[in-house]
Amino acid sequence: MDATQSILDQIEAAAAEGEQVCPEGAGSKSFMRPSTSARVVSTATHTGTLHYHPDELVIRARSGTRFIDLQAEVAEQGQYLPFDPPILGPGSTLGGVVAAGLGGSARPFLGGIRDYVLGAKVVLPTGQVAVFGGDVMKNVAGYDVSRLMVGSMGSLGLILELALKVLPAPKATRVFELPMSPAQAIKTIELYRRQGGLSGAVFFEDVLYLRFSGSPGQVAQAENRLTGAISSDSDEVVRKIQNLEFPVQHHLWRWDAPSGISMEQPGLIAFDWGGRLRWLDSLDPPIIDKAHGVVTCFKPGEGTLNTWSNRNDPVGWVQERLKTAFDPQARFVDYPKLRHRP
Amino acid sequence: MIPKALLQQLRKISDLDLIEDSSRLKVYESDGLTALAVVPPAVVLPHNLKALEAVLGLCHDQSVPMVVRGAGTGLSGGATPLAHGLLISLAKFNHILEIDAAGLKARVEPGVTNLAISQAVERHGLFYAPDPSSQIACSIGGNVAENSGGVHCLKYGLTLHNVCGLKVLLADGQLLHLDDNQLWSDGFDLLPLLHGSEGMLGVIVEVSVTLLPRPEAVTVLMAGFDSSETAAHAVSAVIAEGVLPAGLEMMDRLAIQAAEDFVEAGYPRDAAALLLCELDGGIDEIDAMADQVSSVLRKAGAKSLTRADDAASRARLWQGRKAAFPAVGRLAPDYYCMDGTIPRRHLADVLTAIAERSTHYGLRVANVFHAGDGNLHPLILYDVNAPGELQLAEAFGADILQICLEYGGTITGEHGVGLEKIDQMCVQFSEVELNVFHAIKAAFDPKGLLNPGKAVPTLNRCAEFGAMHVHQGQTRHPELPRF
Repeated sequence: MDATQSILDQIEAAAAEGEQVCPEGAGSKSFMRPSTSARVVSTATHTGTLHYHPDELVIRARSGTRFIDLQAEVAEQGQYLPFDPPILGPGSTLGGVVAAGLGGSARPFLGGIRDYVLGAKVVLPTGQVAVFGGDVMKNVAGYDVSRLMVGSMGSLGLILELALKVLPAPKATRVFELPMSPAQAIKTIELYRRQGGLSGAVFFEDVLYLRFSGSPGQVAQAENRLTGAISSDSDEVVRKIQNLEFPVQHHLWRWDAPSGISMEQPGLIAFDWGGRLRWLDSLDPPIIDKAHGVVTCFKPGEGTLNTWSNRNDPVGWVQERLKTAFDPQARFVDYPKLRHRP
Repeated sequence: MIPKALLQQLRKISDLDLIEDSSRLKVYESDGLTALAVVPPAVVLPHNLKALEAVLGLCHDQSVPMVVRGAGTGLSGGATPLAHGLLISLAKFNHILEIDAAGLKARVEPGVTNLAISQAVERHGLFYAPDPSSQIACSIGGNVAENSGGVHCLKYGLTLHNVCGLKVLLADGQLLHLDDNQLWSDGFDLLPLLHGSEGMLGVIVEVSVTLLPRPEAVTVLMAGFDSSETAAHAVSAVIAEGVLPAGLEMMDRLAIQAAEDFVEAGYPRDAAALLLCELDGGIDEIDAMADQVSSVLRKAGAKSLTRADDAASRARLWQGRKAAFPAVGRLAPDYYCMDGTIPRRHLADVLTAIAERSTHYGLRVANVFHAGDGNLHPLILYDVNAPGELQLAEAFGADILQICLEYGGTITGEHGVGLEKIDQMCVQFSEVELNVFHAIKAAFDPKGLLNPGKAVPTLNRCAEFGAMHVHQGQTRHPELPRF
C-alpha cells in the first residue's frame, strides 16, 4: 500500500505544530535511540515491492515492507540479500533495517547493508521528496546519498523506498561446531579466513560456529578441512546469535572491537563478525580502553543506556555539519550519539 | 591567476615541486577528456603529507581554489585544471605502505596505480579486484574519487566495495580518518559519500583496500550472436541460472570488427554481437560451471562458442575487448566515449534509439557494454577537423545520456560527471536533490575551494540549460515510452 501522502501529511503537521519528527518502521530497534517526545511517523503501512527483476539482480520496495517478506520473495527466485541483517522483531521493516544499519553475521565476509543499497527515495527533513541513486548496479551521478542513509537512524530523512542489489542464493550451506575457548576461536578463524565461502564466524557458550555457504565444491572443501567436526546444513544457530536470541542476566552490551584485541573481558558471552562484534552481559558499563573500540548498552525491550561519547575529531565535526546540511531547522530527531554527549 | 604572494610562499615549502614554466604546465592541461583543456597557472607536486598540508593551508587561508589530480586518466574532465586555481598532483604519493596478507588488506598512498596493488600482493596469492581498463596507469586515489568499476565488478563490486578505510584531508587541512579496522560506522558513514565525490569533498591521502584470494581456476567463454537482442537475452539467461560470472561483456558488430582488425583476437567477424563471459572458482567445479553456462548460451541462440582455459588464450580473447577503444579509434580520427547505465532489459530498445540518433547526426557509433551490470559505452566516431563535427558528437552524446535516463538508467555508470556531464545532471536530478548535493559539499568544504564547478551544477546553470531545451522544442524523443 502506498502511504506516501499520509506520511507527508504527518511530517507537515509536525512542522506546523513545531514538533520534531522521528521516523520509525515497526519499532523493533527503537531501543537504539533515546526515548523521544518527537512525533513518531511510522512507515509500517507503506508496504509492497515496486519492481523485482531477478535477472537484473535488483529489487525496489517501499520502506515499510517487512524484511522477512522481502527475503521470502527473493528466495522464491533462488536469490538472497547477502547482508542478511539481524531481525529483532517479526515486523522488522526494510526501512528500519537500513536506517539502523546493523550488519549481520556475514558482515566481514560478504559486506554490510551499504554494499547492497543502490538507490533511495527519501522525505527530507524539509518535507521535500528526493530520489538518489537508482535501480542499476553502476551509478556515480551525484554524491552517494542513498548509501549515506544506511545507519543514519532517521536523522537525515524518512526513507520511502529502497533499491537493493540481490545475488543468486548459495547452493549449499554448512555450519561446523568447534568447541574451544574464545582465544582459540580467534586463532581458528584466522586459519579459515582465506577459505572460500566463509560467511559467518560466531562464538557462543564455548563453541565456535563456522558457516560456509557457496557452491557445493566450496562447502565440500571446508568439510575436508574440518573432518570430524559436528556439522549441520541449517544455520539456525548462527542466526539465533545474530538476532540476539540468547538469555541475558543483566544488561547486554555491544562492543565493536578492532581486530587483535584480547577476548579477556568479564561478562563476554558471545561474539560475531569473527571476533569484531562482541556481546557482554553485565550490570555495570564494561570498562574498555578507548583504543579497544566502542561500547554501548544494547537491549531490545529496554531503554538504551548510552556510553557514547560524541567523536570529537574532524570526522565527528563533518558528521554534525552533515546533519545541519540536511536538516537546518532540526525538524527531524538528531542522530542518537549527537544528542547524548557526556 | 594565482596571487604572486601565494607562489612565493609555495616556493618556500620544502619537499614540494612547483611548476610555473608554461611548457611544463601544458602537460597538465587536461585529464583523459582531452577535448577540455585549460593550462593551469601553476602545478605543485608535494612529496609528503606535510608539504600537502602546507599547500592546503595556504590556499585555504587565501581562498585560492584547488584541483587535485591523480594519474589524469579520468574521462569526464574531473581533473580539468582551473584557469584561476592551483593544480595539485599526487603523483609522488606512490608508496605501498603496508601489506597485511593475513588480514586481507593493504594500505597504500593515493598515487599507487591500480595494477601495482595486485602485482604487489600476487606473491601472497591475493589480488585487488576492481580493474578499470586504464588499470596500468590510473591511480587508486582517482579510483576512489570516481568510484571506478571495471570488467569484474558484477561479481566483485566497485571501488567502494573493496575499500575499507580512508585518510582524507579537508580543504582546511584537517585530517579525516575513516578507520580500516572498524566494521561499523560510529555516526554517519562517510566512506560511501567520499567514493565518487570527484575531488569535491576532500583530498584522499591514504587508501586501505580489501584484498581477495586469487581464484583457483578461471575460464573464458566467447559466444557470437546474430543480434544484440539475442545476446542481451542470453546474459539474462545466464544470471537467471544462478551463476554470477566474474565478468560479462558485450560488443556490437562495429566494435567486433574494429577489434578484430586491430588485434586479431579470433572474434567471429560475422556476428552482430559477441559475449565474453569469464567464470572463476575452484578447480573441481570450473568445468561444471563452464558446461552449464555453455549450454545456457547455446539454448539462448549462440551461433558460435569458444572456451579458453589457459592464461594465454584467455588473454587473447580479452585483448580484443580491452583494446576496443583504441581499435575503434582507428576507424575515425576521433572518438567520444559515453558511459550510461540502463536496466539491461531495455538494451535492445536503447540500441535502436542510439542507432536512430546515429543516422540523424550522420556519425557512426560502436557499442561496448558491461552487459552484466548494464553499463553501456557507446563510442561516437567523428573528426575534430571537420567543421562542426565535435559539436555534433557532443549533441549526440547528450542524446544518448537522455535516452539512458528515459529508460530508467543513469548518465554515468563509472566515469563520473566532472565537467562533461554537468548539464545532464540537471536532467537526472531535481532542484531539491541538487540542493542536497550543494549542502553536502558545503559541510565538507565550506569555502568551496576543492574542484569548484565540477560534478554538481549550480541551479542557474540548470535554468539556462533547461531554457535551451525549451527553445529546441519540448522534450526530445517523443516516440519513446516514459518512466
